[in-house]
Parts: sequence; structure tokens; C-alpha cells
Amino acid sequence: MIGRKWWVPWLWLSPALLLSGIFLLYPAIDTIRRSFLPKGSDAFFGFTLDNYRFIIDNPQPLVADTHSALLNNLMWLTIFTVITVALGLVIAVLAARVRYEAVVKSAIFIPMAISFVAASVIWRFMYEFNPGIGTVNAVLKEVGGEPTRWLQDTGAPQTPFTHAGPDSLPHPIQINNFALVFVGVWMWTGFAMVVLSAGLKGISTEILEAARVDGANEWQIFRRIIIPNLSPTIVVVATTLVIQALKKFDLVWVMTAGKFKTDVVATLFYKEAFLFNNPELGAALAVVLLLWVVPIMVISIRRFQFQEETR
Amino acid sequence: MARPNPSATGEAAVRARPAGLQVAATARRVAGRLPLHLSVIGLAAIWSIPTIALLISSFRDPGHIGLVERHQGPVQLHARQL
Repeated sequence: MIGRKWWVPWLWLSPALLLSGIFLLYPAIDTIRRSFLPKGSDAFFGFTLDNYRFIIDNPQPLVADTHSALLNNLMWLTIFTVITVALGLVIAVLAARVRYEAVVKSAIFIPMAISFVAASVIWRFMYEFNPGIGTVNAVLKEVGGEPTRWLQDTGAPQTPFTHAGPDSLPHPIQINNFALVFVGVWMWTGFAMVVLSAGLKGISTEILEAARVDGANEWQIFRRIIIPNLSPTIVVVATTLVIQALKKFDLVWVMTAGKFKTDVVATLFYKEAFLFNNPELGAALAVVLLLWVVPIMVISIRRFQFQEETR
Repeated sequence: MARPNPSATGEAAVRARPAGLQVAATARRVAGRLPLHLSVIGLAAIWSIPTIALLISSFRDPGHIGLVERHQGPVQLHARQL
């Protein structure tokens, strides 16, 4: 019988393995190989840690600010993910309680249908310094505030925890980075809301009614029933957003091109590899990004496997 | 089984409530849900601002939104310079 031959499964697997090898494995291995070559090297093999040392030491912050890029990525990873998931959850829960749910969801989801470049252009208009053009500054002026250069201002926002000044600690916590992150939030909240809303519809109404009969108020229902029941969906959404945050490129590139200390690892990698003729450092930055993504992917896959086993 | 007398049920009692009390109950219910409606509509409105702002900008003169007038193209420009 043909099914008993040892090579038959490999035969069926071979197209997928071949494509994965050509388009995933080979580029990854080649990028790792290149990251260990010295700058401008013609050799195929080599071993130097100069590129990684450059990333850690950050010797040319005015040309390639690697620390700023890493910290910006970290800020995207945390602030973007947390705000997007929280807003998506809140909107999903609130919208489910009104009759015009579909209209509200459409309004929130519209940005997802726009390309990142188009959204970036829209928000460049929104953040324009001239209040006659920039909506944000126009509103600010109307309420008695001063127009702000939202995409250029590297000052820290005034909060009880931060203060602007040369010795202020949070380097990436700058107004322009927040402005960029908010555009990401505006785009991705629709995705979070739709997925979480689907999860919300899956919660049995009997459980909710039972809680109400037992005297639970809406906040207790949200905290003790909705959140625990939605936690697998929240993890899926958060994982997707974390990966999005790590590979963020288009939005930053179109809005600031990484200027004014808004570079993230992906934009810095692109600049080094394709604009500054330093593909070795670019490769090292790409490897750093890969190392950042892999653990998140592993955790996500493990969790998915665990869910499948316990189903 | 005999049907219960409606006048003896709570439903009948509710129906028999004075009109003033019913209006007050409705007003309380609407007022209770007002923050929900305001927050939902507010969020949807805030989310729509950039799209609406772009729509408004599309009707404005290019000079007024920070864009320069599109030039006539290199050939005509060259001819004009000549």
C-alpha cells in the first residue's frame, strides 16, 4: 500500500517545506550570517560582534540612535498594546448595550479599512502646526491653548511623573512619539473591538443574568465575568498587536521618517541597510527584531496548543 | 388550570400606576442610560474626526491646506520661461 511507504508524508510536505525554506529560512539564516560580517566586507563568512556592539554602545546617536529606536519600540510595544486592547474592550462592551451598535462599530472600524500610508497622511494634516490646517491645534487654540509641533516636539509631556529637561529620564516618552502611537491606536482599536466583541457575544447570557439576579452590579459583572471569560481572546488580540508594534515601520516612516528621535528598529534597519549603505548593521538590527518577536510567537503558539488540548 | 386573575398580579398593579409615576420612571431610566449613550456617541464622533477633517480639507483650496498649486508640467513651464 502506498500510504505505508516512509517517503510519502515527506512528499506531501515537500512543497510547504520548500517554500518555507526559500522564503523564510534562507533569508533568516542569510541575515544572521550578514550581521556577523564587518562593515563593507566582501567575504561570505566572517565573525565580528562590531554590529551588535554598535547597537549596545550607541556611538553615533546623531546618525543612528540605536538606543532611542529600541526604547521607542519598547514604548510602542507597551503603550500601543495596552491602550488599544483597553479601548477595544471598553468600546465592545459599551456598544453591545445600545441599539445603534452596528453604526458605532462601523465608525470605529473605518480606520482599519484605510491603508497605513493614507492614515499617516490624514494624521499629518491633523497634527499640522498651523491651526488653519491642523485640526488638533485648531481645537487646542479654541480652548485657549498654544499650538504644538506634534510631530517635531521631542519634549516630555507634562505629567506628575515626568518633567521636561535635559536630565529627564524617559527618553522615548516624548510628545511626538505619543502622537505617533495614538495614530496606531486609532487604526487598530477597530480590530481589537471587532474580535473582542465576537468573544463577548460568546459569553452565555445565562451567566450574566444569574450574576444580576445574585445582585452583582455592572462593574462587578465586567470585572468578574466578562474579563475572565474574554481572557483567551484578549491574549490573541494582545499578541497580534505586540507583533504589529514590533514591526511598526510604515506609519513612522511616512509621518516623520524617523526624524526627531521617533526612529523604531524597523525604520533604523531600513535606513542603515538601504540608505546608508551599511547592510551589516541593518542585518544586526533585523536580528534584534527577530529575537524580540520569537519569544512572543513561541508563547502564543504554546498557548494555542494548550487551548486545543484542553478543548 | 384556571388563569390567574390579572387584577391580582403585579402586572396589573404596574398598569394601574399613575401616569406621573410612569413618566418619572421613564425619565429615571433615560437619565440612567444617558452617560452610556454619551460615551458611545462621543467615542464614535472622536474616531470619525480625522476622516471628516480630511473630507473638509478635500474641498478647500490647496493653498489653504499647506499644499502648493500643481504646476503646469515641465514642458509648459519651460515654454513660459522662454
